[in-house]
Amino acid sequence: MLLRKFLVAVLALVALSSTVFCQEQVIFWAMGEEGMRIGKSEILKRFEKENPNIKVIVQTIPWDAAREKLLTSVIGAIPPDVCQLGTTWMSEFSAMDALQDISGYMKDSKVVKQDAYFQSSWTSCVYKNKVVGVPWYVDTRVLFYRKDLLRAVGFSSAPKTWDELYKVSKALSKPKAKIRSYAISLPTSNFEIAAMFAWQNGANVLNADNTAPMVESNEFKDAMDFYARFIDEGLAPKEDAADVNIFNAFKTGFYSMFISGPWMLNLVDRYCGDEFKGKWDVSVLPAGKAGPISFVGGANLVMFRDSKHKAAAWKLLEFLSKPDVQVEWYKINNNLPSLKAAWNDSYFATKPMVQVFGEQLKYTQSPPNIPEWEQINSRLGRHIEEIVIGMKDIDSEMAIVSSEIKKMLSTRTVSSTLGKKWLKGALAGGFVLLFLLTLYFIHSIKKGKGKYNNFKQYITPYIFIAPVIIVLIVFLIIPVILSFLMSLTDWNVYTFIPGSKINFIGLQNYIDLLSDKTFIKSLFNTIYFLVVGAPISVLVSLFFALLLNEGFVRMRDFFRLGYFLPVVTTIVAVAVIWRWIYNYDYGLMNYALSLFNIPGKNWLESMTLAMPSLILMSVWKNFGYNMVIFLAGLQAIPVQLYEAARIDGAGRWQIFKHITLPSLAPTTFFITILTLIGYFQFFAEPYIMTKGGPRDATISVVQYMYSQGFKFLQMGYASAIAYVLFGLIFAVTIFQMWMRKHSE
Amino acid sequence: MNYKFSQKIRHSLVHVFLIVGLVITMAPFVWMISTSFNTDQAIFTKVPQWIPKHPTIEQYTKLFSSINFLQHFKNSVVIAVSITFVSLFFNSLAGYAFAKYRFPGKEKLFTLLLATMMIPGQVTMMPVFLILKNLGLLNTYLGLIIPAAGGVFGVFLMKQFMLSIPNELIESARMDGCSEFRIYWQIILPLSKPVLATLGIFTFMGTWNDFLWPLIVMIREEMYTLPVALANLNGQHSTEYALLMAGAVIVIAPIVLLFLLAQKYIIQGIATSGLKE
Repeated sequence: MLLRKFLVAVLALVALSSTVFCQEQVIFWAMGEEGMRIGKSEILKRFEKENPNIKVIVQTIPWDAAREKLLTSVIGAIPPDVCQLGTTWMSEFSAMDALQDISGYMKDSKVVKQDAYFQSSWTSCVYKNKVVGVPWYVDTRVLFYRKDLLRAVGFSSAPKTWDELYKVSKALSKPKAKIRSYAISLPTSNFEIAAMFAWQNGANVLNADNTAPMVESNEFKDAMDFYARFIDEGLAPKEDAADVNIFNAFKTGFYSMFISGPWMLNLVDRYCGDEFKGKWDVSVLPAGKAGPISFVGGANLVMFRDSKHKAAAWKLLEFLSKPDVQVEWYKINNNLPSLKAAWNDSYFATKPMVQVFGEQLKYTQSPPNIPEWEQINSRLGRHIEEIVIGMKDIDSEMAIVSSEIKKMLSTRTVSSTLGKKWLKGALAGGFVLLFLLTLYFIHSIKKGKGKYNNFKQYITPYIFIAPVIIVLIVFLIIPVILSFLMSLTDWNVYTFIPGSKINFIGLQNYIDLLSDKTFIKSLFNTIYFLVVGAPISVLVSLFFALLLNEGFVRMRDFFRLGYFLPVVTTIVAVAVIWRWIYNYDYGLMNYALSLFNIPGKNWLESMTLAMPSLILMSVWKNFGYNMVIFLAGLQAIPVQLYEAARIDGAGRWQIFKHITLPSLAPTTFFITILTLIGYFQFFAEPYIMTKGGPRDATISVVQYMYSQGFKFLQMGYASAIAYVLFGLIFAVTIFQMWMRKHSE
Repeated sequence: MNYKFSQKIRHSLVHVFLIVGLVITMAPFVWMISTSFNTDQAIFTKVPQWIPKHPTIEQYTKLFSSINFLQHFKNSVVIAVSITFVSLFFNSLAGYAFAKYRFPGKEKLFTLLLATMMIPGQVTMMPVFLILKNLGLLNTYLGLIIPAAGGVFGVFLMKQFMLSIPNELIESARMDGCSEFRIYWQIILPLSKPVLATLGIFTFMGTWNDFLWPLIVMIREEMYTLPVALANLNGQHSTEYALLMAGAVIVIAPIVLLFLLAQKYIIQGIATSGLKE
């Protein structure tokens, strides 16, 4: 009776909740500023008013984590329902067959029609005759310049050609001035600026059908030379001053020119104040021999095949494609409308600067629309930077880049030797082996039945250890084997493309690692971190342990507690705090230096200081842990030893050298090894504080592995990196055992 | 210079060093807290404000209203508590079996377990991700809880402790007709309280502070744990330091509180781990 009542109540509740909460939830992923603004905007509120049964949940993804989040969500079959997707990423996700073909939805749509959009935007949404997205906004770059400063050196308008750009820059630069300033900001940290120079000179990274690199052409090299000239002659800064506030720099004349996108229009007005308004303007980029070509990009809105709310998602896509909504969106986030109709809105007629962007859109080029582009782009960026800042010679470097690109482009064309079946077979083999082991166990248990008078007691321990053993086998032992097998394959992003194959390539990944500059750099960094960080950390721990070990110290427990506090704090939080401590303008570190009249340093942006900065932070965080162990070791040293030494007339230093240190040896060993193994795996520090930069100066092995594995889905390659790390840690552990044997 | 005087100097020197060390250790925490109670504009001063001129809790309200830190807090608690209890249960069961039973294959199994301790977690990153994907556990609490449910270190610690429990207790319980599981549940576990506390605190802290696994397994924002949410905040609001510091306070506060309450266990546990080796 009671049970029935209970059931009725439950059913009633279920029925009630389904009527109250029948709002369909649409998860909408947007990146960076877009995510923050669209989430707070009236636009979505209006949409929800028009569609009361749909609730939009905006999730903001930071740009630099967007790739791995998107890729893992697609692979895990838990994608968002609607997503903002950069035009350069479209082909990759289309190739993976992750995106929903929306042709069917378009048929009845009054809003989404091909001819309503700019051609360049629409092409990025088409993949193999399928429509896999709708353009949301377009994006291009123009020249921002200080009218007044250019006039002061005799130029009444913006530079229109390369030649003029160089002349203006020369005229603007004051190498002998007391206060350093630059003619133009040309950030070297990504490939964007370099690409525009190349296009303006008629050069391309890849050939017309995107099958071979063209970076060794004379046009390309000349363009890079032209770019490098600005850096070399001090017309543009060498160091990427990430902490230089661009608005401040523009206002004070630290930069007279910079190249940027439409979102900057409002920001310059906001941060430079009203009195600054007439002093600057925008113009179409200076033309090279191929014209004033700029980059065209932007973002589309896509739906995913695995989404469960397609109908509602489509409603949102349609709504965001209305001309008036696009104009509204421009007002909020300065994203240029992708709809032609939106540009005819009276709002834009009164905005001459926005019109300049409209003009620039006529002379644009977009990066190659191929799945490998993201990887090529990140490699290229790094090499180009080394060339333009004069670290590397252009000819040899371009030859390296060329071969790297060839390799990236060739992965798709490798003929298959072994398919996915091979790996699946290995995995199945593992499970079969498990099954056989279980059978063997059961068999031996049965055999033992006669021996033991109490069968229950005999079987119990097996049942007790089963949960742990099963977890360890499934999540540790099988993965370790699988990881090794994966490292022998070319398991990569294409593996996730339906109908593709995995190839067994032997030790090729390991061979590639040997010549992979980024990997070598990450290995070097990790070892640097170890070799410098571990000894300092151990010495600091020992120092404080010795102090605390003195008999007369008051409030010993209180000190110990304080020193130990950083150990238990979350590394992510620590990294965030220290990013603030190392801030150039307002950080604690530079303030502390200023007390001693030492000029502040650019801690995390400097090639030489970034790594020591991370080490300093790690020592601060970890020394308490080792200190506690040392303290215990010190207190375990028999008092008689000290007394005997004192009677023999030994001094303080002699006692320390001959009694304390030798007695501590085992403890020191233990600590050193523990610290080493911990430091091998450092990841969060560079991930949060420097993203591995500047120029890979702080990238760690684990971080490189993470980005290879989840940013580019090079699962085979990442597994090889994991195994190298494993080997190193293994070697250290074996070394420890050997040392221990010999020290006894 | 008489002996007494030089001793005085030494004593004060040691204390000066200790206090300077403590100031350096604590300064980042104090600065984090004071920044977090400040406004976005006011923190940009050349001279740090140790005490905000106009203290405000706006950063915290922002975290809990618009950024939904409450949800991330809940996720962290659910995951850390579940992992702690599940792994304590599993590890103590296994530890008990290894400590107090004789069975064929025991030594081999234990050696195998110890050998797996050398495997760094990163080696299994890619395959575990794929296995979780195939089990449909990505982006779920279970996806983090199950792989962490058994730990070799935990089994080892449990076994070491339980070896010291007298066999007579177990035998006499058997005489009274106690079932094997009941012996474990009503006799062994209560006697193992100290080691359970130590291991539990360590597990909880490790899980709470873990970053790499939740970063990989939790794909959607509503499932992020606090450290992942903070990293996300750091990517998204990279210059809003006051907000970031408030986030850091929220992530750190529970674990620091736990540490202060349980410091005895923690410091003892660490001190002995270094000596027993």
